[in-house]
Amino acid sequence: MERREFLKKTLSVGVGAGALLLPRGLRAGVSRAMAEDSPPDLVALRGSSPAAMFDRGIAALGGIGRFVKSGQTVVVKPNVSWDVAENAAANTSPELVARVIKHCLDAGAKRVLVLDHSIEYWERSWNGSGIAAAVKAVGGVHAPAESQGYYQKIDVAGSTLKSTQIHESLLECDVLVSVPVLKHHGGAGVSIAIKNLMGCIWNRNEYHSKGLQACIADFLHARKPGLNVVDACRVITRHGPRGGSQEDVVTMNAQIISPDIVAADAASAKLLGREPSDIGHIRLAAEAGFGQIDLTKLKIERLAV
Amino acid sequence: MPVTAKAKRRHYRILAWLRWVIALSALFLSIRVFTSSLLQWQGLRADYMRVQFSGALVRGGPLAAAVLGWLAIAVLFGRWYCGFICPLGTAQEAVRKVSALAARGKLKKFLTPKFISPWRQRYIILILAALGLKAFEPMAIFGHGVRGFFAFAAEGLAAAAPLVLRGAAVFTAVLLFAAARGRRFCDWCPVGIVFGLCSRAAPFGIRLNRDACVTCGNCEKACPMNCVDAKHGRLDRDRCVICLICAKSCVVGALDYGLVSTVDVGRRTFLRKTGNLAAYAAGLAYLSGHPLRRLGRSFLINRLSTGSEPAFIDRVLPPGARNIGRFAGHCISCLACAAACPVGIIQASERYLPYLDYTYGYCQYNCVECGNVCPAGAIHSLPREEKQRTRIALSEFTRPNCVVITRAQSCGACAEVCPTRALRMAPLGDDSPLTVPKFDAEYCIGCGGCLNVCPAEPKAFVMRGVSPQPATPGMRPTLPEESAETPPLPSADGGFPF
Repeated sequence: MERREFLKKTLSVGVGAGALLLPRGLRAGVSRAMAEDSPPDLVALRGSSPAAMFDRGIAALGGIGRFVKSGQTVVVKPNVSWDVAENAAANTSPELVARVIKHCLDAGAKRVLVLDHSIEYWERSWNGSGIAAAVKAVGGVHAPAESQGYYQKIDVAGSTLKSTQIHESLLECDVLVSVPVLKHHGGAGVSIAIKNLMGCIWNRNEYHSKGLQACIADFLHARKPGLNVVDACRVITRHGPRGGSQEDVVTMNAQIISPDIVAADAASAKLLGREPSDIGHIRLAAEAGFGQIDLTKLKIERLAV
Repeated sequence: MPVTAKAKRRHYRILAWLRWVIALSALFLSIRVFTSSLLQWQGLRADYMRVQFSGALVRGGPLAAAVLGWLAIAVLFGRWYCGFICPLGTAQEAVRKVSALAARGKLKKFLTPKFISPWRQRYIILILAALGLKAFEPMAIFGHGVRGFFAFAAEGLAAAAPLVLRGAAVFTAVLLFAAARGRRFCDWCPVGIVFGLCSRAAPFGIRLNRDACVTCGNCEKACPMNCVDAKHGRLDRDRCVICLICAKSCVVGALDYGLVSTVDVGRRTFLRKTGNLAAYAAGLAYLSGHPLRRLGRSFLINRLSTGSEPAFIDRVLPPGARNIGRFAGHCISCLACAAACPVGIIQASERYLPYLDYTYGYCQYNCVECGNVCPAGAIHSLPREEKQRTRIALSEFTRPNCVVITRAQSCGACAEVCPTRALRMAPLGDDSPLTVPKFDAEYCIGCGGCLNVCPAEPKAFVMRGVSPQPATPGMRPTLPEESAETPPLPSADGGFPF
């Protein structure tokens, strides 16, 4: 190795290591400064169907191949909590769920499991929402989640949540993709990507008794999604999370895609007219360093499809 | 028709085998019907339960056709229902088959039954059943037993509820008798006795040719009903369930199924065959038991509120039960509703009346499966919209118990699951970011969601059953202050607020 080359390499490694030591937000700034043509941190889309927006948005992020590698097992986590029709907007759009699965499979994923521990009876919720049919049609696998046997107790390094029973598929999968639907939530304020992960555990009651906001944020210590796709086509603005009346549903035709779960939640909360730092679990997740709550520090690509 | 003894035996071996296949299929189907809560079983479960006798008898209406059909078959051809369809009968027979195959030596001798002449007094069962006693209903014993067995197997002795154990114990007792003496319960079964009375003088039945009979006793040992007396060449045709096993076992071909000759029927035999008037009266009482059951519930299952004004009762009845008196009169305690309930919250009670237990789940807003499956019409098959406006219980919110108050933390689990918005989360105070449940009792349908999900200890909700079940206005409309609480959407027009 040439002396010059050695110095150059050492220097670049040193700069890289130094960048890693910087706070997350600054790091993003540094990396942005270093490569202006790097993919955005967050893509916000408006104006089309969920599938078309996802196609466009994931392409802007550099393609699903950035997050899902060939041969990997993926868990897609939509919201399938309620036995309500698709237009009630309480569950993720089946069209979007199917599209995300298809992209993962096209990227060479070995297996795409679709997981949610429904609140209402699972079979009715999966069939009633149309998600069971959509998953089956596109080649995803519905991961059974209705009995405690599918969950394993793990330790969580959270401030409030010290341990919980999480679905076994999360222990085995390579990538977790959170595909929530944006909606108002009477207890948690809003229900977006972080809150969506509450459907990965067995005992939701535990969150409510220990402290809902803190536990929702603490789950990220156990497992953090590699990608978050927020469905904001139809949005429940009141009486969430179940809704049930069309007068509470607003058609927004929007979608937020980001690998940064806090940023995705922050941007989505703003769509709903809420300040991200007012929502306990988003603020706590940001404070614990799971992502950037300040949207001004992110490279955001806004697209009208 | 085969003529030689050997050909006849082969003929009946095939027929008996066919009947055994059908009966066993019905038994396996019944076990599945009573254990699976999967939605794809619901249609089959309802159809299967509808052709069963006791439920159709209570329900009447179009199902009276099923009742009359089974009775007509019994009057003409014998107890085909008991031999082919009844799962409790087949279960007993299966146990006896196993015990007969497994037993050796002295035990085998003990387990090989002889002709048994049952007590005449058993007809009292018909009167009691007509008055509403559910303990002898074959579907009640089978349903409670199978569900009890499976719950026991899943949870173990320590965790199983006493009533689950009772169901399993009664079923086990019936099967233990069966291991030693065949279908002994059938002699005490109200449905079986009624079919027996009907088929006493049936023109078709098992015939015994005494001239050919060598009194070897094979048929007597083989008969699962113990209704063949080989020594005296006697055959209790009112107890015969046409299993054809006797004809199969006969080495000389003296037994077969066909048109019974009535030539040798003397006065005495005729009287024995047709039975005495009291037995027939009891049978009629059972068949017309519907109004009697209503009368009987005040003696047998007392302490029931039957008024027309909604009043609190100590148990929550399934949606569509309407009022507890009517429910008690109609229910045959088969627990098909419990099996059909996707969340498994319908439980057996000590009075053999199913009720809703919100410990492990709550009544699903869109679900009407219990009413769809109920064979007796005890739970009305309500249209979904009507069920969603039917109050089965009334919730009561105790604010001091709520975790928002006791621990000053977010919750909202109750309002989240409340399907009619009777519960909503309203701001706790001017400067608090917390929201606290606000309950509007008018819209509560008593689904039990709030009670089930409430994390507080003790719970912030109490749920009290209501009878009769009144109608509610449905979903609570949005209040003006809720619009004020909802922030305006900055992004409804198309841009991004960031």
